[in-house]
Amino acid sequence: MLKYTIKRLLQSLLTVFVVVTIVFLLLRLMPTDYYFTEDELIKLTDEQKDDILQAAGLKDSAFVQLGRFYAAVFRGDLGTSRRIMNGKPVTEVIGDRFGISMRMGCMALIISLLVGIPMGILQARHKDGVFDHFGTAYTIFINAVPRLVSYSLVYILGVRLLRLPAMYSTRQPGVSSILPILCLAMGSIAGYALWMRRYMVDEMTKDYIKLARIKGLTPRGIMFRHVLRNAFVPMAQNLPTTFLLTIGGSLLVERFFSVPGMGPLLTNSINRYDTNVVQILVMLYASMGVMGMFLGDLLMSAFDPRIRLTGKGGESR
Amino acid sequence: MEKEKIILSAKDVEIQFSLRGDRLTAIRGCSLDLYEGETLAIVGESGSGKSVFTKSFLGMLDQNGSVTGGSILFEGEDIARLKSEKDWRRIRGGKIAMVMQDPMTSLNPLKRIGQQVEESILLHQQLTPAEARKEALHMLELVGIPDAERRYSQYPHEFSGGMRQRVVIAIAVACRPRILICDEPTTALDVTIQAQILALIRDLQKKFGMTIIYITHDLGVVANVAERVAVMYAGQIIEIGTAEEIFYDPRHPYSWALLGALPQLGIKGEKLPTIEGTPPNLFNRITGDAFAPRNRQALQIDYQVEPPYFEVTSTHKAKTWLLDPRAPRVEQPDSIKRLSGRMTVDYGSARHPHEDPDRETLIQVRDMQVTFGTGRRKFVAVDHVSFEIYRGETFALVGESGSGKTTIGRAITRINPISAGEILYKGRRISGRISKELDREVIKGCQMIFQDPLASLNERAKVDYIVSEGIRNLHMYRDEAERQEMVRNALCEVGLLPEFASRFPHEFSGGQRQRIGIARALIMKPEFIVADEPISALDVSIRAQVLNLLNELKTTYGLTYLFIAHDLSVVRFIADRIAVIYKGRIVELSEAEELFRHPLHPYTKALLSAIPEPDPAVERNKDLVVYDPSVHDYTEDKPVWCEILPGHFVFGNSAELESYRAALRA
Amino acid sequence: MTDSIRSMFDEMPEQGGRIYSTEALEQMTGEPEEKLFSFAEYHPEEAERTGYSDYSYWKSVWRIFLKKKFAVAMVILFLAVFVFSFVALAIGKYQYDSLVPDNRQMFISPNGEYWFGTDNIGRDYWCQVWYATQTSIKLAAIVALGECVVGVVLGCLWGYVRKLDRFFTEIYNILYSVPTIIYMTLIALMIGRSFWIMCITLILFHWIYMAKNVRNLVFMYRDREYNLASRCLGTRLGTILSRNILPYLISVIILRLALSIPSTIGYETTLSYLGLGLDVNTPSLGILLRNSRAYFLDYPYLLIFPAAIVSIVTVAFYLAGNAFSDAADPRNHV
Repeated sequence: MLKYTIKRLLQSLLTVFVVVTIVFLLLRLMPTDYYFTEDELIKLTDEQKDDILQAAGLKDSAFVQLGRFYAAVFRGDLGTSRRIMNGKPVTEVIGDRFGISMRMGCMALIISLLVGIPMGILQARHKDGVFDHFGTAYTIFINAVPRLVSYSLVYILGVRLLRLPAMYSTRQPGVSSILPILCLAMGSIAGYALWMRRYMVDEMTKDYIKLARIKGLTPRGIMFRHVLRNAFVPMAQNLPTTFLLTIGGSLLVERFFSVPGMGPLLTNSINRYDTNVVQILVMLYASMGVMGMFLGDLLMSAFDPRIRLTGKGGESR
Repeated sequence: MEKEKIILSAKDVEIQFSLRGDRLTAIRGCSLDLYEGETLAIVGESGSGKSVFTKSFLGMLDQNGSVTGGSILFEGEDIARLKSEKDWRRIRGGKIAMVMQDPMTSLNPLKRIGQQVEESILLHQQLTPAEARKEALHMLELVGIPDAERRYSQYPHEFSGGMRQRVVIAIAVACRPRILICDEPTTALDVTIQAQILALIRDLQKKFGMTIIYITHDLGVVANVAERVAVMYAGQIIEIGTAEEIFYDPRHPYSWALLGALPQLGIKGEKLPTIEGTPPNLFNRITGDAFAPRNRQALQIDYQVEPPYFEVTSTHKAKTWLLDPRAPRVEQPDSIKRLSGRMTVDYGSARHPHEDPDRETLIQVRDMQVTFGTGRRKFVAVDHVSFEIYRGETFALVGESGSGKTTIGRAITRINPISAGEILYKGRRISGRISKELDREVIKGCQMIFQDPLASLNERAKVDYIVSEGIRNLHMYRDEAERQEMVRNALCEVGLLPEFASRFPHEFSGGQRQRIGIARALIMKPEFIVADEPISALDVSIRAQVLNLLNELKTTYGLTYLFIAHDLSVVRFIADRIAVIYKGRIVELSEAEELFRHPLHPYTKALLSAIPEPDPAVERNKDLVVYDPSVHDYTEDKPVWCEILPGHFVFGNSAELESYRAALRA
Repeated sequence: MTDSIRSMFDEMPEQGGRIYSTEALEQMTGEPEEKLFSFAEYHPEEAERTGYSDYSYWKSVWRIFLKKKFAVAMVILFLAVFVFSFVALAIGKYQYDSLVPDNRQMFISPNGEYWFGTDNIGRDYWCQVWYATQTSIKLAAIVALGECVVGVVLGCLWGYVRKLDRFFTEIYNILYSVPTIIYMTLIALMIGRSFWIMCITLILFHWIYMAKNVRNLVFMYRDREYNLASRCLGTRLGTILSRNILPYLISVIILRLALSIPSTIGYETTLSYLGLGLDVNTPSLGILLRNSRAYFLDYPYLLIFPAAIVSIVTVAFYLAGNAFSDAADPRNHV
């Protein structure tokens, strides 16, 4: 088990490394003009620009820069922002926004877990009943219709009927977070409900459920003692990924409600070629994604003795 | 057997399924009286309804099926009328329990074994959790799980198939049912394990006085467990009687055919009696005797009026017009007489191509090793195996699942690469990298027949494409007309109609599909065919057809077979020489009759003793030999592959070989 | 022997003797006793006649699919919308190419002149909406097909060639673990924005999901006995893939194809909203939704028309895809 964990961890690190390297190299392909503000572009002569670039190490070959970048990262130096907040360390630039995204993400997560999973369970328990149809209609709507449309609906309803603030504001973070959190949770609820229902329904067709019925176990007993836990294994694998991505903040929601979180920062920094910020953000996102998969596997193995004890994969995925 | 108390009585039960808009009548008026404390075996081929019938005692029919007629009386109540799950729970487990076929899927993979047993104890016996735990441990011990204390907290994946089936049995018995239904509980298991499970079931029945319904397609198993036997065909019980009556004095032509088609009762070198054709389509209404179209001795009336039961003795009834006083007298076939001991079995007339002084070695395997996986996950499937196959012989490879027998076959047809040693075909090496011409020659010369008739044909291609695949690849025809001619010939050769070429595989029955698979190999005009368990997935009546076909082709074309099987009884009928393989090693190899007469290796002995014989007298008195690999002490004294008698090889160390020699002298 | 047989007629008076007496039998069948109890002729072909059903995989798929009334209705509605988009452009009073901003015509609610009203710079909304509908559908269709071709080819390789497994798995991890938007943003900024760039980048990042599905299936089928048989018969890899394995993948391919359309349209709207989608001169439904964002509280029709159409298209494909996948599952063919 320990060996398996270490192996998976190393694999995850490798993936992060590859992603960051690719993005780093892509960024170096962009014209260096973007390194300067518009003012500087007009004022500075070509030679001055060259000197500045030279000083910043941007004239070296991409691989030298890459090496330098990793060396700095290992020292714990994540560089400074250049365009978004001139000279401010990247950690600080990201830090505040990460906090906001994190807070909203966690709220959304708790709500969606509390609503989505019971919803899926109820749907599976009363398969083909009224509630199931209602739930299925909801998941279909959320999954099929573009988020932009469903957010717009929530927006109109929230602002017009409930008189909630339309935009996030730092002065009243509580009330103004309601709509964005709702939008974030809406999608995850549909996701959790859909998967929970599907895994449970899958599980209910298995042979051992038949044996449990033959034993004379009640449908309730079968549901709680067998189906639920077994259906949770594939769920467990997906949970952390969705956790981290929800916490990481949805680009769209934050932009839609003008939340000063990680999402807008990412598009901003890319739009304004703040390469240092982009690199670190990508690293952060990649690490979260990869960690999610890693934690998912660990969590699943905690639930599934076949993986825990043999180190081999259990059910298909 | 005196009339005992009837515990369950099914009358004229009719069960229908709705399938793709049609109604299928799976059970067509089936009646059965079950006596308290007896073991009744229900035999029948797939689709005969044996499993469906008993599932209706538990309300466990699939969603699209329902009991549409008749009654099932149990404890004074007609349980055919029960509707809700709540009503059924009064019956399930505590009154009637069931053991299902596949032990690999019938346990919850995420729950500890002990808890799963405990669950059924808590449901059906009024015990405290602590007592239940004790009882669960006791049950595990009772079903023969060693070291129950430790195994209690293990998970199903840590158990072998046979052990899992023991646990499933423990779960069923822990409910203390009055009736235990065993639905082919040993079909998915190896022969040696099967014998042990059968013994266990007999044992438990004695201990708990349960009534057992044993469902199987294997007559050998029936002879072993059953006191009474019911034979099912097309949704009806066509004959029922005590085991002796059914085995030694069957009356229904279908029972004759079923018993007669067993290779155990065949004579080597002769054709097995077969049941031609396929079972009827239950979507259609059947008039008369359902077996009539396949019965060469059918009467006119069989096509028109459904026969009633005729009583042969007070315990023996059969549903055939042949028993009517007005019907002409029909003799039981020879094979049935052979079984009842009125004729002697003669295996002497076999040919012995391997004893021919001018024999030609067709395939030679030298020190072959096959491994799967890499690094620490490496698994040796076949371990330094050597043997030769002579032209014209049938060389059988017998072993249990996971023994590596299929891997050897696939290595020879070059599906699996080998990791050491070499394979020679007509003296030329065909393993590893070989020239294009040789490759062509091997493709042409060495073909393969597969086990599973469902998986071995491409469902999405027409028979024409499937059969001509090989000749297309090697361009073995001049023009399209010749290709079609070749396909037609190949189909006729295996007893199929030429017009089948334009159909898709799903339109055929298992036996027909298997014959298409044979045609696909045959069209290449091969010299050597690897037959990988070609009959183990087929119904008893179809097996004989395929075995006969293989034997016929062998004589017509002088084919050489490598026949892979897990069933020694079949092999005895078809093979000239037999190699027994255990865990990737061939442990014994000899001429077929020699092996049966003088088995040396303990594993061979265990395998031989585990074969279920279709003879109740033999089965009930047999001593089971259990193979324990730890009897070999190979730490000092290394084992060798030794020719202990001319043509009889055995694997063992010097001490063992000495004891084998002593046994042979005795 | 016959003497020892006591017929059960006596025991079952209600159906025994009377029914099975010679007279009764003769009357029932219209044949004399001697004939009834003589041997019948044996017809081997009668016995060999396949007792097997007329089951056909695709017929069953189609039958079950048609049973999903709601999905079928949505598909018909989608087709209607698609066809109507052409009609609508033809009968509309304004041509998309000749639209000009006009401050005096801003935010006119739908009326006889402007059927869907006008937008924030006074342009006819009707022709914009229908034009955008076509663009979005075109984009989604191209991306779906592209994903399918690339995904199936590479997925087959991934599944069949064991050595490539690690390589593709790593690509999967790289694409899966980082939000696609990041890559898309980088590409949009480096190369620019246009309809075709959008198509290609979406294909580039989404083929992997199709490939993963295909890979799992190929992996499952590659060692089935019928493929081993083909290998024994010397069939080339390409033929095995195309004749033996691909036909089994069709249902999954259709499913992914159908589901890729809502997801592509979703991506397009999100990217457009973030300013990374198509350029403003090729309006898609995403661009219209983005433009309406600032005004829809006051002028809801700006949101409603594109939102309704986008919902019809995505829900139709989503439902159709799922209904098809249900229908394609042989376990449901009962």
